[in-house]
Amino acid sequence: MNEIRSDNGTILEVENLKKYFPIRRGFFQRINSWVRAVENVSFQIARAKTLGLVGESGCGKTTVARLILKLLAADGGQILFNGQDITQLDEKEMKPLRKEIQIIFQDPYGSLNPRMTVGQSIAEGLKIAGIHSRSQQEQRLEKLLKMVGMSPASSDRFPHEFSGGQRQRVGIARALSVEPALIICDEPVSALDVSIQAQIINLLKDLQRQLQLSYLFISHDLNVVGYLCDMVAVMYKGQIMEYAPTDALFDDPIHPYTHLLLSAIPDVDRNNDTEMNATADEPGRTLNPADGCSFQDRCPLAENRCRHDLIEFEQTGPDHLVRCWKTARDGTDSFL
Amino acid sequence: MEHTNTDMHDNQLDEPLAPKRTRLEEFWRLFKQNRLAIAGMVFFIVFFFLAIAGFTLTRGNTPVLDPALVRLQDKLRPPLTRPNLERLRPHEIPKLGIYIFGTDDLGRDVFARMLQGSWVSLTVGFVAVGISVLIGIFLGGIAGYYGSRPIRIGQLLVLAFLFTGVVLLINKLIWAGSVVLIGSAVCILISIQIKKAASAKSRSAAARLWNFKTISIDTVVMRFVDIMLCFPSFFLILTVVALLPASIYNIMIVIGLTTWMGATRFVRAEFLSLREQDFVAAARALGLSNFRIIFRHMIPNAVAPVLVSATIGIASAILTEAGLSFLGFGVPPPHATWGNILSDGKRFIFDAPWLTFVPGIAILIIVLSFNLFGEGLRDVLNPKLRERN
Repeated sequence: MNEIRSDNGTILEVENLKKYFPIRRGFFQRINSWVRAVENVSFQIARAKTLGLVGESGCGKTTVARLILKLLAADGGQILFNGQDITQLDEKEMKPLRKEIQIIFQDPYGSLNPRMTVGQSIAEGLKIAGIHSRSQQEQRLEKLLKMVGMSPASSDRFPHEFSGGQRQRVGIARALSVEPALIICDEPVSALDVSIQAQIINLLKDLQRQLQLSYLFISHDLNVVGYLCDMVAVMYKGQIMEYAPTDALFDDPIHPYTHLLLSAIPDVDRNNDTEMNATADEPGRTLNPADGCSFQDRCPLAENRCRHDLIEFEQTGPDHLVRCWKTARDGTDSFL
Repeated sequence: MEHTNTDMHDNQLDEPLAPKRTRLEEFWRLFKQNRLAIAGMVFFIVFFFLAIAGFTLTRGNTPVLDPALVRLQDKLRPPLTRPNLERLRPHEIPKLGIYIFGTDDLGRDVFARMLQGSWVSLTVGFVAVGISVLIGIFLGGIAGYYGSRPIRIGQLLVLAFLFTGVVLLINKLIWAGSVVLIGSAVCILISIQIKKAASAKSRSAAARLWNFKTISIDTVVMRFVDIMLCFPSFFLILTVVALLPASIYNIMIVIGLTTWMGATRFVRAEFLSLREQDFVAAARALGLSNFRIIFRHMIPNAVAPVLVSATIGIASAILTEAGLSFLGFGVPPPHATWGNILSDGKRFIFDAPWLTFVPGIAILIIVLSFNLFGEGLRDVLNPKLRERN
């Protein structure tokens, strides 16, 4: 497996991932229609790099995370981890790969078992990692807690005795306990207040540098994403709208939805005249791809073609993909 | 690795840890605000030790307090009277020197009988509720954790063969029973073969029929709960007890087998909400086995509401047992229970009211205290209810 790693810098490759949830109605619970939670999502994560996945609530970010962890079964597409397709693996075959991909959750209150001490929670991972002797476990536990900036004395405390930021650190330590290669961070800082956010983000960055971790960083906060990520994928209603290196995305955003997101960043220096763009969304209606662009209802540039044609990715720069056919226009500021 | 640790140092939090307070201390701090619940708990503890004392003092051939000793010279003596020492033979003199609760129509010491009965009530309450909670956790856990899985036709066949086989064996049809059981084993083998033979897509029509999905496990378990709840439970118990030989063990088992539905619903509801929790997802992402997730992560978090309903369930089990004994279907007569003391006493209710009042009030106090204790537990263990008060 190491060979694959060295000659191929990609650790995770997702191709045309699909997940549809049925909507059941009526007495017999017939399947009435489908929610296209994830529709043809493709991206790659390089070794020791971070991919940001941004989008508003309900756009399918967390579903992508759960699909990669195989907590949900995909309805189509492929997930390649180190070149190996894990989509069709059953639970038994998946077991050795489980410890390679870990997750950090948004809610630090729900992510730790309230009946287990911090030490017990982390030790579960250590057992999976093959550390069985008591003394070795304790050594490793101490090291992990130090690594995430907690005192080793906290290992016999229960989660309710900690603050949100401390719990998030424990969650990170639990994820690290199995020495994963990829960590999926599902909005790890959005439930924390700003000063704690900075601590956790710096912690994640330090850990990445030391342990050569790759991150899939899911967030709706573009400031954080801009600081932490190497690549960014902007998601809307289950589809990736724009996929670009972070600098390119922030300096030269192309998709109207990316513009909308960027304009929603609160900024003290800028005169805030973008309120008109933050139109209320009507969620839930997820379109059939043949019915045109999923952003058509909110797009200031929507034309007839947007409502009827299948919208494909257009390449506008190195690694810069946009799901909008109007990329050839001159000047991107025209519609803001 | 040395440099790693120093590197990490600027990230170290110096946030002091809160004073260590275990969940038990936290629980006690909240619980002691509820005075009625404290009273209930005190009565519960007193009752517990009285019942154990009753068991040790009234057992054996020459017990300290003999509940079965007939003293016709001393019959229907009111409470707190001294025994008639001139007319009693030496071994008939009560060891306490006083009839605390009086004597009944055969001159038996009601206090000794109450003690013996308290042990019956305690064991019936605990064992019956224990049985119902175990069934509840098992079925509720299955319905909550595996509920969405469909039962396939092959599995249905296995179950049908197994069931008829066991029924035939119970009815002493050894040959037919064995054949049917072998049939079920064959079905299991076929299922394994089909699973091995081909991947899900390339299966033959027969194999696909074999794996055809019928109803879900959740539907089976929960509809069975609904059916069981339709029976008026006391009359169901009466019917079953009438068919079985009268013994204290049968009473416990029958009460347990007819009261598990509430616990099943509680556990299922808890499991349904717990399985969506992040820490369960994290456990699955770590690659823990289902067994470990259920027993280490879910059951410890699901027992609180079950504990509450169990406490109240003990009260109703005690009441049911007393009712059965009162009607004469309970523990057979030489053995005293609160129900049959009450039943014996009702003929003398005007001449010797203590014979009905003593067991009646005891039942009242115990049932009430268990209910209050259970409600206090519920208020403390359920944070949502706590906020509302």
